[in-house]
Amino acid sequence: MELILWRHADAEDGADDMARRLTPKGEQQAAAMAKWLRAHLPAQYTLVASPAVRAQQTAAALGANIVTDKTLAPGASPAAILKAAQKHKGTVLVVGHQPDLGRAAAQLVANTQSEWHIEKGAIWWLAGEAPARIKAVVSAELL
Amino acid sequence: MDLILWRHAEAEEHADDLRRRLTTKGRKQAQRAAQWLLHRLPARFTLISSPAVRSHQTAQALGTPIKVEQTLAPGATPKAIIDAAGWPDYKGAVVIVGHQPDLGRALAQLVTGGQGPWSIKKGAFWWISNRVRDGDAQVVVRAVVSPDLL
Repeated sequence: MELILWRHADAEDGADDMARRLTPKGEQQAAAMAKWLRAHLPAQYTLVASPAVRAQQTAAALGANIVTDKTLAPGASPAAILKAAQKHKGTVLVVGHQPDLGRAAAQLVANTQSEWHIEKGAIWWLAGEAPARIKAVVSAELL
Repeated sequence: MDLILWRHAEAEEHADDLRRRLTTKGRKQAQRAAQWLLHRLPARFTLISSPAVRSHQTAQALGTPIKVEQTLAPGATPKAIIDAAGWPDYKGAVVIVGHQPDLGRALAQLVTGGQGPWSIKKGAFWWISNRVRDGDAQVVVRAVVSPDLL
């Protein structure tokens, strides 16, 4: 399996966490990453996103169908993230939150329970079963 | 500081390991990675290479002066790599060109404190940086890119 963890881009503050929208900077980050992803993704992949608006907006930049999975909402455990991905075959993109995605990456790559930092709008591309290989990491600011 | 650990690109076979040269494909890999890095690195950075020809040739693609460090030859320990880089206190960016599994072991140690080695494809690099946030020292992986993704 190939699993791409994509942290939502820069978002506005807001009292309702689920309703926070991307800032203009965040929209640019999402668009730049979407462009990079389109150039490198296989023809077939599944895009799964947290129901939070900032994750949905980030995913929408890719212009593909979005499967919204409530189990990816902020606070998702590594097991929940892996389970959400394994509902689908082939290459799966998961758009979600920190520290959730960083915990999942640490678990899959190093089998540790630490919180790896993933920058806003960045992707971590993992390949293979645990221990997964890190195939690519791209920060929005380096695009 | 910013630290880029760059594995030499694809090389020819040769009885003398330190003299193996890049293949044509390897030279292209090195060029692609160098272009990517030159667009994103600060104007001033330090470039350090293993003495092996395939590493030195890879480093040359950046077109800047190369410091050759004998301790980065194949078999380098994580400590040798981390010391050569001046991690974590060097002010600025350092590019180290070297070998597997040496770089992958240093990476695992820097990022997770584990043994590794982490996989690094030929011609690929890892870009990590350190920072202090809320009093905690953090290591951030900023980019991992292999030539087939450039």
